[in-house]
Amino acid sequence: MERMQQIVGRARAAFNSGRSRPLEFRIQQLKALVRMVQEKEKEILAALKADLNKCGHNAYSHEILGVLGELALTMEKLPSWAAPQPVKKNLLTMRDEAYIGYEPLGVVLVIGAWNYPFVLVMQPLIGAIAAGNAVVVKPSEVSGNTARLVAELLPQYLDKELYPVVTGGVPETTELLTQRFDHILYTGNTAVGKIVMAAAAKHLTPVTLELGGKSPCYIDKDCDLAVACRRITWGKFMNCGQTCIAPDYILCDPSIQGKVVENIRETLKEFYGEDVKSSPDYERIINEHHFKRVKSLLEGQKIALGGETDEASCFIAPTVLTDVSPESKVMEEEIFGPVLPIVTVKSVEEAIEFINGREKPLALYVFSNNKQLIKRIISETSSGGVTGNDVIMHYFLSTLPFGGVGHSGMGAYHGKHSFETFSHRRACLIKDLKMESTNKMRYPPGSQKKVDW
Amino acid sequence: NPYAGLVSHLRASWLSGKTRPMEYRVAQLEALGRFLDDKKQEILEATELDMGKPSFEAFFSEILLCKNELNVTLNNLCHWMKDEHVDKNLVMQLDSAFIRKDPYGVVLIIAPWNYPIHLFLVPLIGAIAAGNCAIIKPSEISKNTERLIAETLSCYLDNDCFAVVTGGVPETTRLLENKFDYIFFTGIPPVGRIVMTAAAKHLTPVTLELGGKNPCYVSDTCDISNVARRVAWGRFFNAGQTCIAPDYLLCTIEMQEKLMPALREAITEFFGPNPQESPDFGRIVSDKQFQRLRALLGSGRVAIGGQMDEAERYIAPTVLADVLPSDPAMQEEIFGPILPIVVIANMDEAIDFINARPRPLALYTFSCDSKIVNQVLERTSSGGFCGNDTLMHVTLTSLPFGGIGNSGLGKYHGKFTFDTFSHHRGCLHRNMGLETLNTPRYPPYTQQKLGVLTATFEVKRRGTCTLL
Repeated sequence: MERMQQIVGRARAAFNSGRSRPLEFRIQQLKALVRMVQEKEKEILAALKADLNKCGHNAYSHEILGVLGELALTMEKLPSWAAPQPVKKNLLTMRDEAYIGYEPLGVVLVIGAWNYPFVLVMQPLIGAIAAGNAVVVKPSEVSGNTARLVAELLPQYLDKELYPVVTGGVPETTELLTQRFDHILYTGNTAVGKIVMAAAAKHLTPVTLELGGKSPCYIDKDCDLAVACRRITWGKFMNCGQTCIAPDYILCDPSIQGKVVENIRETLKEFYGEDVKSSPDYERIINEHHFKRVKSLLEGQKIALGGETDEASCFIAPTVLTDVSPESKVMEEEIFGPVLPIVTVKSVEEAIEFINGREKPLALYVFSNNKQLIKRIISETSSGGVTGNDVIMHYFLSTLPFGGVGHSGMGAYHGKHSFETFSHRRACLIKDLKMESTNKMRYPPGSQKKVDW
Repeated sequence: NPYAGLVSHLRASWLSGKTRPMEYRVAQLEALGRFLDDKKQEILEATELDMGKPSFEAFFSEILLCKNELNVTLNNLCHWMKDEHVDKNLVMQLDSAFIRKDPYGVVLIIAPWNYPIHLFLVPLIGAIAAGNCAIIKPSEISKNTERLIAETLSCYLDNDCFAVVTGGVPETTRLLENKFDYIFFTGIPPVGRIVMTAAAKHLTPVTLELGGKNPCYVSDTCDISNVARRVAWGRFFNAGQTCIAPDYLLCTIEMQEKLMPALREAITEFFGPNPQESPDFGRIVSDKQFQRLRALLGSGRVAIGGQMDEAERYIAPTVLADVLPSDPAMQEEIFGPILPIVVIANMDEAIDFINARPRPLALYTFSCDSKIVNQVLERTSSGGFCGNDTLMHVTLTSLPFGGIGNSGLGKYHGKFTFDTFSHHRGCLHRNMGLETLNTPRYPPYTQQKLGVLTATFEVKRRGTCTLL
């Protein structure tokens, strides 16, 4: 308790000193992060490889490229984002100054997840720094190598008091959550999301919760199956399926189920060769607990392709299940692994009803040549975000807010949305102390004349 | 769960999709407009019974401001509902990228007693505009208005999609057990915590409009009689029962001395020599609140007012001088017609005083010197800020209205209400063709592919111009 209180207390004192507020300071810290990522690229890639068996290409393109892009965008746009925003005035305020000021919230807590352990602490951190806050960073202990590296590197490059890193597991996080923060951004699962929000409620702390769920992927009969399946295969099996916006399951007409399987089979060969296990580009399940969890989802299922596992290396082959029953275990919770169930539906209506009968997902995917059909599905469902005719990609456009709805989360970030999430938008009206005559209308004694005017 | 049936009825209506078309939303909003027109007299009467609200004030806050919000919404709804197209990166030039404004579903609006129509109606306008169904829970403390809402609102709105629930703490507690898709709460911080804790069980997002002690700093250089009038107006409106009222004054001892006669004059100008007889001065809403306020009078010394009439729940417009930070009036949000003056030596001391306390919903500064106004603004934090006046910043619908820290989270008014009740859904609609462009992202990975990815995805920092 003492330790957490001290760390957060120091961050708060540092914030209160005012030094994180000037734009020059914030940009200086962001520049330091650029240096850190460039100078320590090898170490970061090595940590990701040790944690997830992530190959250099994936690690770089998923975790480093995005961070560098976000840093560049933020540094360039910060002056315009942080500038006071004048607003439209009415008759009574015509001669006044009316604007929205962007101010830091104070001390922000960022809790990362283990599946993209570097980018999921870095991206929120970038936004929080840009908005002028102090930030306590809590990387996931499950991806231990990356957590240790982040704890080592951040103090080498950033202001040590303003941006401390706290490591540890559940007990440490629970202790941390008893402290008062001015915003908490948590990435992780729904159950812990509830715990974080309940802890935040004690201090009336606003939260951004980036959770998960089962992201449905509807494949229409009218579509280029080869292309659709290649894109789906890419999004499903990257990071061994451990992606919050991976297409969790497929919905399609029974008549194309076989073709979907065949196309995925072909694509897998194209991507990983004949022996997936020996491909340097295929990751592993993060640990034994999750390995057992994902493996158990295969019980009693029709395995159309894949299904091989190796506990010693936490390897699960890319697997597709067919004719899956909506009531089976694999359709209950987010899979977060390289297992792709196909549930057959006989119509778009059935697909929409199926999706709406479940919790709102983080992402929703639709493949079709029919633009109207895609529009219809978007309009008749709800989800955090959507990509039509591809998967994952909406994540990479920082002008789109990235976040969930319902059980998949609340709030959003990326790009300017991060800056706004971590800022207080303060309404400011500055009037003249003169010009009192215009105020006389509103003062008592009231009279019908004043009201009618 | 006594409300489960009601909630699932509304949810079924929501799932039917009937609240989505713009025509439906417009029809419901126009019905709200008719409610305000038809029931204007009843609203003025009910709020007068509830807290002696002067009809001028009631018209201003419960009718006029509400109609403004309604008209701003109706005038702009089409535009607000549209998909917001966003800038795209290189890779997505041929795609469609937009933010879709989705309704949340079934929302809960909990309103307090002090502006009992305004504080449910303005959030409701946004909830309807955004395409949601809603349950409205007005305050049982303003019981005449509660009855009016419960009995008449259903004559105007679609009862399959909008319902009013009445009752006190036990009923609200049971109501909060249900899953809502958004909860909008206006009230005090301790109850805000309870609401957010209940919301956490269902991962329901919330907006909490709370309160606190709104400081009002008056510098030595100012037009004293204008300051006195503007502060008195803001403090004594609705007999002080306003979440954004100037709660206490900070000024030097010299200024306190100069302000006192000016405040006395303003009060007399507004309410006459005996405010109890003025139709323009309200009453305290309940005995409980009256007793609470009476206890606060033992702070500093009564310089103006102080008279009370328990039978009428009348407390005179009161100014307390030389109040100490340890006095009762400085321990809680006053929410009554009592204005304590705390003496400080200078602006820096005032700023330190403000910053040592929880962040307020509103902050006021009076000075002829705009540098002073800006300094206080820059060195403090609050939900909103108004320089050289009180209350007025919330009448501008283009400004967000909300708190920070203990004074709340989230914001509304105007488009901000619509945005509050919408889920902003990031949508990317890609081209099925041009598959070759995707090749760099697929395994097997090569250095060359990485190079292409980097080139196309990377956002390069534009060089700063060294000529300037």
